[in-house]
Amino acid sequence: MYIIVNNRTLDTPMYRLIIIMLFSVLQSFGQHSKERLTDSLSNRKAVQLEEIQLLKSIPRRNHSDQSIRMGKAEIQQTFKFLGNLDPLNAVRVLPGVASGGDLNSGLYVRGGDNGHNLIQYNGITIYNPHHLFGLFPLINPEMVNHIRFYNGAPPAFLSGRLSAYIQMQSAQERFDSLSNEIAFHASILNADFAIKKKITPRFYLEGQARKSFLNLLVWPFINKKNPTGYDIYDLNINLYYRWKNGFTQLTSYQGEDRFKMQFNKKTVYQKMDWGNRLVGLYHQQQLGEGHELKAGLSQTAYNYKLDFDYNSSGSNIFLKNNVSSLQYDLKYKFKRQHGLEVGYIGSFHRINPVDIHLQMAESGQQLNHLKQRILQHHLFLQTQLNIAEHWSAQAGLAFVKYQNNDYNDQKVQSVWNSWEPTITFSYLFKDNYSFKLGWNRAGQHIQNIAMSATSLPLDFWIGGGAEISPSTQDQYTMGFYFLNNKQRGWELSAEAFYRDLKNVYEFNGDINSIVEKNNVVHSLYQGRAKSYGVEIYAKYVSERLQSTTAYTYSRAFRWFDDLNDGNKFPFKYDRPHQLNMNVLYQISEFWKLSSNFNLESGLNYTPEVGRYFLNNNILSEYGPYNSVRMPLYHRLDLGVSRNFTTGNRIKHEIGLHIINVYNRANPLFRLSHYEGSLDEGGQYIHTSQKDLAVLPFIPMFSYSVRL
Amino acid sequence: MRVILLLSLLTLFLSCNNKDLDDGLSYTPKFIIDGNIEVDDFPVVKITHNIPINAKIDSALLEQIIIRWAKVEVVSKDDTEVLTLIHDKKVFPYYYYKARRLKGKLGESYKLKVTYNDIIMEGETYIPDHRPEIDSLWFKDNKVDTMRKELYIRLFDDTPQLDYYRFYTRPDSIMEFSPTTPKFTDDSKFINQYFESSLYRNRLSNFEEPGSTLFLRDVPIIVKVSNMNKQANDFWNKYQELSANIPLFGGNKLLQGNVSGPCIGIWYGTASHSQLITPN
Repeated sequence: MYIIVNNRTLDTPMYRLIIIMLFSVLQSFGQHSKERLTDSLSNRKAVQLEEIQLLKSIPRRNHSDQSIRMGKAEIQQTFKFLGNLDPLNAVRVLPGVASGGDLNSGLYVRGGDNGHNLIQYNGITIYNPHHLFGLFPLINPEMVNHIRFYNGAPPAFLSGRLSAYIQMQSAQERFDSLSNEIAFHASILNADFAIKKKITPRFYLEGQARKSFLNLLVWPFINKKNPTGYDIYDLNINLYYRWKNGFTQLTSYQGEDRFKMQFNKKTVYQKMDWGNRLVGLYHQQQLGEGHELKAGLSQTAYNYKLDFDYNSSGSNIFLKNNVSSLQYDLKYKFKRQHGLEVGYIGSFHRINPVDIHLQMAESGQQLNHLKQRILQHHLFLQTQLNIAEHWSAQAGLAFVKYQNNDYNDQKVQSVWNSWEPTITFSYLFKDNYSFKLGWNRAGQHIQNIAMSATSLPLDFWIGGGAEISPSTQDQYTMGFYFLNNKQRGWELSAEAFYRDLKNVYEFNGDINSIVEKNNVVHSLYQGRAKSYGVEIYAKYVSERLQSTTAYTYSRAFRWFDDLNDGNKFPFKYDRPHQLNMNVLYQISEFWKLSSNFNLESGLNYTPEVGRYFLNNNILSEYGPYNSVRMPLYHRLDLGVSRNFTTGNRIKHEIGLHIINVYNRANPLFRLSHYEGSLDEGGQYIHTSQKDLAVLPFIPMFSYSVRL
Repeated sequence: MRVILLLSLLTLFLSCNNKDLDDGLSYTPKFIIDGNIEVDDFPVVKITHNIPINAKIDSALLEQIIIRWAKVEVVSKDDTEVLTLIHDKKVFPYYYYKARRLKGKLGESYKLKVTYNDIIMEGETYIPDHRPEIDSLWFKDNKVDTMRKELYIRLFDDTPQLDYYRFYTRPDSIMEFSPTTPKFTDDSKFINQYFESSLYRNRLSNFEEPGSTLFLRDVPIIVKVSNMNKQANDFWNKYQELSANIPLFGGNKLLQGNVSGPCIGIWYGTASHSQLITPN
């Protein structure tokens, strides 16, 4: 329930208490009309209120579309990984979202690639939404008010991705002095500071700054043989101004990861820097007769840079991946005409997919220098139709025009036009039960290519061009939903999906080929994919207990001419069984227990079936592509926290969070090791194979203070 | 609610009946053929066979996997020779096949035919018609390791066709070359017909401990540059990737050569230029 209270006199602790009481009263009068509520409150005369406006209840799901909304409270209830809360963890506990394994921050939704998801913050695209291995969230949870997740047929204003749209949104409500807050959080790995401040009744600021200190506290004590360094920083400032019938919001974010490593007797030095930069201006205006105008202008960039230095001799390999987008949005909603919404989104992208420069001796070589300049127009129309008494439909149509200029040895222009329809039929029965059928056709012109077996900052974006056709998808969904808009009780859903994807891409695994072929496009395999599954979700909330359980059975297969002799093979992240259980239990006013249990079928990998000697090396011979599954993945994380207050208003929280409680070794990949000699003195080769697990039992303390 | 429960049961039923993926651990015996014909030199063909993943590799097995009883023929446009089995304990495999009469010539094509019982494996290649030219080699001091020096090379190529050059070094006292970093270049990257680069040494085998990438002072080394066709260059690039054995990178891990039959085999011609130099 959202209540907007606007009173310039509410600046003392006593009035704060009264306002909290008012919230309770409003909740108890949940069925009352706006007028009666206003009367009831004004009769109490506790404070003189300028205005009370009951807007509406915002449910988690609704019966008409296929999105899920997760509010701040729900985000706060997710498990703190290494003592840090990640807003995207609220998405990871949903059905149909497979994980990539430990320290793989990717989200693999309904058999799709990580790059098939569009992740936005305040409507601005984030090209790499994680710091290294997901150790730290990119956007601080203090700066996220809610997340909206679409994985079924999305509304037509969303375009450009195949699997899911994840929209993180900072606060956009009317603020009062209760919103003023200062928060400080620290763990062994990092510290962050957040401030929320009402500057004037109409003007609001929120900001967050974070810095990790691994170089000080972690790296000096491990890996002394090959000195390592890794740290991050980020800064996020949002400004908000409310007009008479609308508001304007300015969003800014900048963050960077810095990694360095020395190896081979300190003669080879590797340094990587990467980061995101976001800035955006958004305006929303209520117009006459309930019409609404939304306009946005934003710029986003992701830059990755690798410097591989041989012997400090001036011989270096430089590799850069850059992507930046400038976007303009204009949406107009006719509230009285079936919620008709029309709009235009124009974007200009500059992409340098893999830019390699070899500096050997005094001479340098620019090896891979594809540059892409892309203009994209997206026109859409979205409406809601009431077909019959219980039947309704959400229908939309988007037209996308994509124009790419590739600059390599010469300019090559590619143009695609596509229509992207989307429709969801809903049948509502017994108020809380509904049945939905959905279909959408989607296209993705800009691809994210994973370079490795895990999600790395090295993964690059590349736009469709003369040799890369856009990915397309038809998705069919069907589901039953029991939705409970009350504060407590059950929420249940079961949904089935079937997806048919064309032109999906995988990196060929050959780093040399990027250098050799002068164009990264020739290092990609192209094929088609299918996935299907059933997702079951249950949520239970009581006075002390909040729990979610998500189970998914799904399969994801691919067909590539260049892999497995063109035969069907399972997607690496095809994990038939996925179970996630998240529990938060309030033991007392001060103590809180949290747990997260995740069980998933193992990742697929290509097995070694034999070995052979060739030209003084021992090589592995591989079996069918992705034909063997790693052992079952399961991990239990537990946390306990204690709240206390000092002074009048300073709230503290001390937490202990344990990752991988029973120290399960969940392998990320299988590693072969050889050791031996073919000298005349003695010929022998020792071979060994081991599963590389990267996340052992880790306890982590954290401390937060909130003013 | 009932529908949801039914759907849940149906899902569990389906999942219990799920036929899991093929275990993929099928091993197919294959020959491994490494054949090379160099300009002005006798062709050499090494033949072994693969082993299952769980085979224990000891000196007995290393002897067993060498194929000693094959008939190996090399055919040029005007000559055919059956190669002779040679025993040499200084290299692996300790037995290999070598011609005694037929030598490689620039620009010529050659066929390879290997017969083992009734199994026939065949390949065809050519030697590029241009021999590379090392313009100069020199060393520089290294800031970190004062006992060793950095090697630099300068190549010259004024021919119009596209050539693929691979780089190797070896100490004068050792028989076999190991590839360098960078491992290869093609002459489309040459500037004004010249290519200049540092060359870093790599270990000979992927089961040896990695050593320094620099060259010890006063130890003479031989630097070799080989020109080969694109097919052979692609094969050796893929081979380098596989021998590095980095499981983090997936993709197609199949090594495909140009020899037909139940084998993984490469038959390639090279035109090479070698020079001896001592870092002082």
